[in-house]
Amino acid sequence: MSNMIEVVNVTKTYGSGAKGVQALKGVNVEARKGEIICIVGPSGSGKSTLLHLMGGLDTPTSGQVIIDGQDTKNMSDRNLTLLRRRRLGFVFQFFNLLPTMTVEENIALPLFLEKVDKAKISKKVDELTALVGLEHRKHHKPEELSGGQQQRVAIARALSNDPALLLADEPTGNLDSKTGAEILRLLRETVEKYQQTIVLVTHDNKVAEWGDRIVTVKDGLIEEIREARREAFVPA
Amino acid sequence: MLFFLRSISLEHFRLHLLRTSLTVLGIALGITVFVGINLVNKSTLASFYQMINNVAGRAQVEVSRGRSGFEEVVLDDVLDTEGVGKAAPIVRSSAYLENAPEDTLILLGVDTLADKEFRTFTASGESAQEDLDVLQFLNSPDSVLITEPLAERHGFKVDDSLEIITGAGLKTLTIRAILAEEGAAKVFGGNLLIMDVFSAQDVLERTGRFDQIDIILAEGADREAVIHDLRAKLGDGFTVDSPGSRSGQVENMLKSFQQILTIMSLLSLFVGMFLIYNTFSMAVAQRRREIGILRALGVSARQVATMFIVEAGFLGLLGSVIGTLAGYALARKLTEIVAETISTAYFNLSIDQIAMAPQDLGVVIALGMVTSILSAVAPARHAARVSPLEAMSPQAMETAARAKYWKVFGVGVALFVVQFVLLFLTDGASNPLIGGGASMLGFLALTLLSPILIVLVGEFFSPILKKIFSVEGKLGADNLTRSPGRTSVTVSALMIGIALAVSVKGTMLSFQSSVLEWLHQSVTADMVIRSSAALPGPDAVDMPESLGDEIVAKVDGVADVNRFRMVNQSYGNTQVVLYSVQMPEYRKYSPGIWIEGEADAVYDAVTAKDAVYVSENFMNRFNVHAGDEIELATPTGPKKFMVAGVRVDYMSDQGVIGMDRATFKTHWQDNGVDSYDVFLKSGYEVAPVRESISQLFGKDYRLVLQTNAEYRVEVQSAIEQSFRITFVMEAIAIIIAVIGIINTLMVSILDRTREIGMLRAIGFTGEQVRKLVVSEAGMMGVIAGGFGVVAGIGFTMVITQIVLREVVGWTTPFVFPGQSAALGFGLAVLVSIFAGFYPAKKASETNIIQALEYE
Repeated sequence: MSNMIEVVNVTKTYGSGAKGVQALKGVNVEARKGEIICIVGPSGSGKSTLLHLMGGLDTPTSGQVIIDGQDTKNMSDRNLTLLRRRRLGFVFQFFNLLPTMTVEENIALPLFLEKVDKAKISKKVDELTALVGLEHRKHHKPEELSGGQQQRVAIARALSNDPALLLADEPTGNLDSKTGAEILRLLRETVEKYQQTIVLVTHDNKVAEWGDRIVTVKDGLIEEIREARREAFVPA
Repeated sequence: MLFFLRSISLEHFRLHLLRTSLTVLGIALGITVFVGINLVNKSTLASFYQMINNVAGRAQVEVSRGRSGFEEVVLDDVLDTEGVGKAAPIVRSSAYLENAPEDTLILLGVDTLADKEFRTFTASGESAQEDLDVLQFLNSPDSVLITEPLAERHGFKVDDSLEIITGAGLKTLTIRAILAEEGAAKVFGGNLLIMDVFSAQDVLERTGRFDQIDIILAEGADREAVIHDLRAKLGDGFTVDSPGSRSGQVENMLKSFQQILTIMSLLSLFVGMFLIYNTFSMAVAQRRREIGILRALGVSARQVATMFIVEAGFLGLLGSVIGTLAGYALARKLTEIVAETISTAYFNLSIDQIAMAPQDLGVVIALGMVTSILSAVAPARHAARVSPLEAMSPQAMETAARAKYWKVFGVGVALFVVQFVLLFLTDGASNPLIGGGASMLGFLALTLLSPILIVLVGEFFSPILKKIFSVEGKLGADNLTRSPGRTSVTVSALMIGIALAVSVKGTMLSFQSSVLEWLHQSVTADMVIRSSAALPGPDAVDMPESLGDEIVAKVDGVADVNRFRMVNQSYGNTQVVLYSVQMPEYRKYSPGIWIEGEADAVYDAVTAKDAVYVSENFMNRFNVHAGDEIELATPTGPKKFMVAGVRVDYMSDQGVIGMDRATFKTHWQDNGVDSYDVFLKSGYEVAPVRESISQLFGKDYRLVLQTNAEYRVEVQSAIEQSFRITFVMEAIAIIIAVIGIINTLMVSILDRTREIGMLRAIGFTGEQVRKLVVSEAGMMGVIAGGFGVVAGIGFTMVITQIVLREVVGWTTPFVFPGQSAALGFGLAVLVSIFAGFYPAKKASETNIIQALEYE
């Protein structure tokens, strides 16, 4: 299997001089197509920084981040944006849906940006709402949905542009464990169906064991990379 | 509390420096306009009193009789009166420089011996000599003294000759000395010529006549007794009064003009209040968590509220100090405009002093602080109600509770009803306090209507904007409806600015069209001739009566001329305009617009006997109707005149009386002419006739010859001139509103930081984020412009249909201000989009990672 994303000798320093904080101190990691990688570590370990670099939200101080064959190091803001828009999908802890838009519109947002024609958008929205089980909630606003439903909308939105790589930052962090388990099941389903790669950040070891491989980050360095047990996440 | 102010409030000011500065700027601008206008209003009156005092000098009583003056022998009668100590005669006339006809000069003939007891004239520069009486220079009949400012303006030196145009034609004088700018030489912006009283009589061809006698009382004499004796002795035609007695009439005359300015300046302050209210509402919303922490730590609700009140007071203080200084500067600029307006509409005035009394300074700063504090009371109360629990919970979003906004809408409608009642069913329109209050209520009502309107308009435009600007346009419109409470205050501020601009412009247009219609019916002459660049009025330079006959006799193509004479006439507690024309000629050409009486009958009556017609506003102001009798003080004593009719006439906002020239000459003993109306024989062109009049008589009288069309253009621009000052205030109100938009958008962006981060993460480019914010700004402009224009048109109707009638007594048909409505709307959208640029730039530069972690 070829690599969807490669992180090579990456360092990231915030600020400069004596006040500078080195969040990543030389990190190497890669994720293959169709693989689910879970990044774990205590807070302040650098796991979020790693996710941001892998998601093209930030560029490394040194080293290379190669997403889908493209090195992000010298990419302009605009090209990074287009890369995110066309090849990546994001799922956040707090869902981050737009309160003024309906479920349908939220899901279609990345497609609007790409000026995809109406019929295609409509077809895609139908497919994704069916996938996340919200076909009857298409015209609802986020405030009318439960947390789990909102996160499912967010996943559908992240999938709408057929991303090669899906980045999830604590996607179950704001949900009860039963709903969290449902969301993880849904993510696994999508990997199998669309063959994307998922990079997921969590502080919950049980969530991490659900993935394919676990990358443990500590003090800006990778402490361990190992195969996960791939067991289904069971609510406590 | 000081601890809170230092460690919390000041820290927030520092953190949100832009917002704090914009708020202070908003308060400052509101105060600037308020201070500026008040200074101008006060300075106008002060300059007028100063002018009276400077000219009057030490005179305690003045004797005069209309524009025509009186026989010299009156001086002997005055001197013979018990209690009169010293008396000095004066001859007074308007004139202007041959080569600078735009400035009207006042020519004052004084008694070189007697006058030094009354006025002090000091020579300046090269002509200055110790202990020398400068009036001694007036030793030959052509001697004249001019003031320093006049000399400087035109480069005159001692011994230069001075060519002036007077009622008696072109005269050449010799400058004998230049007067230092003090005392009487300070008035009229230095447009003053001093001559010997008898030389002035010669130059003006008014031998044996004086215009005024100034009196200093004998020691121990009682002024009232002397005035009483003089009145009895001289007869009713004379005005005997103390120099200051005219000031009451002038105050009355300027009252409505000054009231309108004051109300408008209050509106700027009102718009400023919106900005403060908005700033503090946002601050409270953003600092909810902090307030919760303080409350959890034991700070009382009252202390929290006090913290915000103190912050408001502090910003108010800062804004007031800056605003006062800026207001002073603004007043300097505005006085020029106001002086010009007053000179065009009422009397010649130059405002050369702007002074603020220390107590006024205190009042203004207190006003600024109170305004700020009042505007912050509601947000502060809101802050006090934040519970300690809220420190722990995430920020709650403002949810659009539609029912609540409909309720607010209801209150707004109710306020409109109250405003309506105030204006229609009381004497609100003519009472500045009620009228001002009613206009504030109207604007407050507009503000209350706006939240629901914003929601409805936002929802309406959302799909349209999506079609035009794709998803970022739709998001912009949607964002507006997310916090209509916050948006409404901002939008209302701009709405008020636009409504103000449209209504002032609309009023001006309605007024202008009425005036032009009136001119069309009344000034039908092919040409108007006058001997002064100023429009006809009591300050115009006279032309001789015989000139008309000469024109008819010598100029080929002239069918008729009509002599027009205009004087200020005391009536009631004000000064109205009284004019005379030759009725038999006048009726041939000027049908007039009659409100009471039928044209032929009125013309018959005023031609035949002591009858007059009055203007519509005279009728409304003094409740005088056709068939009534009015008594006028004339130089030959009080006379009763029958009112034969009432017609539309916009010559004076105080009221107009028209009469036949023969009647006027009999009672006013004045045969001067201010302007000639010239009517051509059929088949003759204006241009060649104008050329021959100019060649034959132009040089002697420096005639200004205007065709009917040119005259109208001049009247039109005189009207525009009187509205000029209001544009300054509208501009400032709109600037304050723009500041409000920038503030609101900055906070709106801050509130949505995480959302913007998300949009950037999923693929919005910086450009698209900018577009989103700019569309939001543009939508604010669309709403503010749309409703502002509607409100502005509504106000135009109220002003033209009610206020003008109540205040001035004019009825002006409403003219739809289509162009200004379109301009107002466009302006609202443009300034809003402009205001959106900086916040949009800021939003597009959002750091995605920090934004995603932002709470």
